[in-house]
Amino acid sequence: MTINGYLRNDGRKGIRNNIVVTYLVECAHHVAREIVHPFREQGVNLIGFSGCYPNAYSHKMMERLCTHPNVGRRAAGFARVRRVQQGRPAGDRAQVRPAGATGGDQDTGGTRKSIAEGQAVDRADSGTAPEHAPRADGAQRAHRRYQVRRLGRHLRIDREPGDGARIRFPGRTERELHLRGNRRADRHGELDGGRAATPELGQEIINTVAKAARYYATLGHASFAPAMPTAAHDASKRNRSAPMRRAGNRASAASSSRAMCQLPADSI
Amino acid sequence: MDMIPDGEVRFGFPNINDNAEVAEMIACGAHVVTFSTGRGSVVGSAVSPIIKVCANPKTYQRMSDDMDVDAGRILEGRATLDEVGHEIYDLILAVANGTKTKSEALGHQEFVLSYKTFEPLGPACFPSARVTSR
Repeated sequence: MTINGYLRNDGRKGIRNNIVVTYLVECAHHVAREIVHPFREQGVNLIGFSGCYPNAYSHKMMERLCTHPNVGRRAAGFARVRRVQQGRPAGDRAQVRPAGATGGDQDTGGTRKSIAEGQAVDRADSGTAPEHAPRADGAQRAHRRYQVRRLGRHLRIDREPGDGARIRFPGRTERELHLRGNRRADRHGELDGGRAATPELGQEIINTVAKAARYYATLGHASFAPAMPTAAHDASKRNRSAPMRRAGNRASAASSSRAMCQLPADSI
Repeated sequence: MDMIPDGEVRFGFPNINDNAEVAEMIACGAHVVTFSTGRGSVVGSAVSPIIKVCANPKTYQRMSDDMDVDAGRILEGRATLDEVGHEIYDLILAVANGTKTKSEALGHQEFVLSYKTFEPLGPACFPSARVTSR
């Protein structure tokens, strides 16, 4: 089974050919939003970091997002403060061609000039309509057919109670096999250390669940629902300190009605 | 003005809303995100499309313009689990082939990113470690 996609220089395939305009500090958000506005229906996306000081996690996130295979170009990055620019996603990996200015409104002369400069870049690109955009490396169009199993797929399971959100794909069919290797689930409650590929990874998963339970309980927020399977839960209880156990128990009790939202890994 | 929270230093909620997690999934490489909702979240995302699966018939009735899959048909007996599963799978393929999801068509591009810190993880616990150690 094949789909149409976009080939990147490093061999990855995207299903969109978006352009991302980034802001790297909240005070550059308005400039970036105004730049995107006229092009928002042409596959130009706005992403950014609202912090005001470099942070390794946010840096890594922005770098990965700017170089995601669904992104053909990073059109502009705007950081208002020079020291934040040092933490910007500088790793323009091969598949992302920075199409234009990467700068700050302090460098370009303020809000109005920065917006004009950024929009000029987008306009220059805008033959740029994503469906007709050139390949990320500037070569010919990369709209080709690819095997479905090459694509990653994530499942987002809502935390809202009572939605009966158990999703299951048809049994052991070709469809299931296509997707099996690439799924990820985001809810800690779906993670089962007992089914991990290695015992070490299983323990890391159990530790992650315990950490999340303690973190949310400390914040006084009861939306976290561990709902761990028995074996993993028992192991986790043995490995948790008393405060962590108390935190986990509170979180569990507060959200026990949400078990329906669980997505058993072997049900897909 | 005291603007610093009392007690142990923390960044606050790890993910203040769904889109913070969606961005993390996409940063991990997700081409498509399948998002189940009961109350009717309308969000989309930058970079990768979001397919909204709604298993609450009342919500779907109210918000069909925003929902991609009416999974509540299972509860109402209008479809089987497998039928809806096939529908979701086919929609993933259609979206991968360029069909816009409801949130894409409506222009949703929500995005949230804030501070976090993490200790390095692995690589000893990763499955690849076991393979290379053989």
